[in-house]
Amino acid sequence: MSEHANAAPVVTNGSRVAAFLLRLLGHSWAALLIAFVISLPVGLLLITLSGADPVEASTVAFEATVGTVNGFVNTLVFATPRLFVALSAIVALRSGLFNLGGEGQLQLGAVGAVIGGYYFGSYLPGVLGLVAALLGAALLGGIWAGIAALFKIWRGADEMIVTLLMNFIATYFVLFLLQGPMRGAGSSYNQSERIPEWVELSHLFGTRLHGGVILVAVMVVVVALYFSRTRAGLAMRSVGLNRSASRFQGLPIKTILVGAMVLSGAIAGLAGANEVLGTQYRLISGFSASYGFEGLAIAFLAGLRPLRATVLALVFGAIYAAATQLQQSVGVSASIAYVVEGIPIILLAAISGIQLLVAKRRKG
Amino acid sequence: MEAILGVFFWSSVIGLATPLLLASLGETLAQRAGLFTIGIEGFMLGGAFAGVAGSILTGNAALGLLLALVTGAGLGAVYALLVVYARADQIVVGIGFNLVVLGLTSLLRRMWFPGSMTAPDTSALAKWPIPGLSEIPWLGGVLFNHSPVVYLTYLIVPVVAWVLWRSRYGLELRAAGDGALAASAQGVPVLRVRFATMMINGALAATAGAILVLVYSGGVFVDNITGGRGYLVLALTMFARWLPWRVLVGAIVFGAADALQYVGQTIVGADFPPALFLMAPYLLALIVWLFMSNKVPGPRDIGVPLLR
Repeated sequence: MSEHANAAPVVTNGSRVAAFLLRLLGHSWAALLIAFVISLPVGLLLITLSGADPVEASTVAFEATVGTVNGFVNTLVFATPRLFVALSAIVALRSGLFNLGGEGQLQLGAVGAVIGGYYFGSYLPGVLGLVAALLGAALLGGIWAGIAALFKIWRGADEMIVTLLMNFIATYFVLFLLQGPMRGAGSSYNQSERIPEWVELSHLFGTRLHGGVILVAVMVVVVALYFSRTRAGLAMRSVGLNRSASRFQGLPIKTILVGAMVLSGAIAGLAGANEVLGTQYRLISGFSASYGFEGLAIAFLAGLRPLRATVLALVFGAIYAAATQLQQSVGVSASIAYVVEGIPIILLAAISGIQLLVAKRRKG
Repeated sequence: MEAILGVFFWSSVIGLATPLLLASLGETLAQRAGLFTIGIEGFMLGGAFAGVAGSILTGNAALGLLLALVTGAGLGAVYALLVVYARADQIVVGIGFNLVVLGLTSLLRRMWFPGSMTAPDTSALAKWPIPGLSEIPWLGGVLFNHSPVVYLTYLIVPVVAWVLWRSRYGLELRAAGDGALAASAQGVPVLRVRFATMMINGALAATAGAILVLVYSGGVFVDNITGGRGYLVLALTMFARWLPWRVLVGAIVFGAADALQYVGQTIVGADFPPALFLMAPYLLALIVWLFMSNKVPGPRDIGVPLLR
């Protein structure tokens, strides 16, 4: 999404409308808004087609997102894991790594959270259990991503395919753990033991809102400052922008790539921890619907900016909060969330593609 | 040991390789034309849905398969409008597209087919033992006792190879993926070639998805039934280095990893964790990916929009 494509003279009379639209779209916020504004009526149409009253559905959706305190809390709770993954993707992509493995890294992170939070946390006093759980999550998520980076350096294996495949390996690995070694005693589901209460991310203001939201807010600031204010962040950005130039500058490329991937995986791991420690208190098979890809999409849409990703994660959280409530009270499948989230992603990609083309044509 | 040498196992290998093979052949064409299709997962899922829906509506699974093919071509056309003509980023569109297809198929399933969504009659795609050949001991059972769509898929392999290296379209397709700007300057209609290729890719992948459900999953559609096989197709295509015969070998290897689910228990004992069998194809893909020589150069313009 180029910020600077909006100094556009009107080309011809005939294309004035198109030029106006494009100038509008040159401003990324407007493009974002338009993409979501187009997506909403499609959602409403689908709701109507599935036999629900659109007015009632809109009321429900409003109340489930910003209309009530509970709705707003749900929005925040749903936004949190997506934002963690988006931040993870931002770290990797800024360093020039195509980490499509957020899903796998958060799965491993959830495993780490249970190892730290249950197997160690049960013996640790007070807040130390929570620290162990978070460290476990970051560690396993980071290691899982680091493996992909090592493969890239050792074998030249493209990280995109490797991380994609590792998502499935991770998912089935979690299933294996929950059907065997980590399965909770006497449980008929594929789930682990419950973590002790003192390891949980504590609730805020007596609502469902939990400490994960504070953690993710801190991470947003940390990631933003890391890239804008620290030497290491600058080095990662430099490698991401131009790898060979960075090499001539004497930057240790391999170390930076592995570091970026591990950092990215660790943050994605926290997304898994957030679910285990903040909402479900145990590891449940299939706990992550598609946080991995949604987070990635948020990162793309946000143009790799942490603050913008925060806003988009809130929007995605709201869509999901609305969809789950719609399923409960109006009987529309919550899968509608995927459609309403997917359409703006596609539209924005198309808009930036067209901008690219127009910019190229204008230069000749 | 008997189980792993048995007709049942190897026949399953050949059969289960079919959907992967068909989709990977389409993706081979697409990547050779410069199109990296993350959305192939969505094509397969959409095809699986259309295949079962068509079978329910017409009562004939063959017509269901046809509907999947047409749906796939349509999805491919939409996808191509975005990535070819609108120059949208191929990865981003793919991710959004897969989300939309996952959402739509799940939604439509509940809307149109409440309860279970099952093709009533899949006999049109049932096994067709080839007279004579199927009576050869072992080999006959393994190779010549399959659904007709299996024979057709294997016959498409040489067709794709011929198209790639012997037809004008194939030449233009390879030019569109390997030096698109130069090809375009030479008068190759890069955009149109890519558009057509994406439609073919969509049609083949969707048909593959439908085969997966109608022939190998008892005709029952459940949400997200393809469950990531599209990504396996991407990996397979890339480490087959875009060569149809290597796609064939790769598909059979993955078919074997897949078939392990069915006979694996009898080989290694019933208490072997089933999740590890489900993991096997992906783990295998990763290992192959690491230890394969990547010396064959790929198309240079994979994932790059044509800008001129």
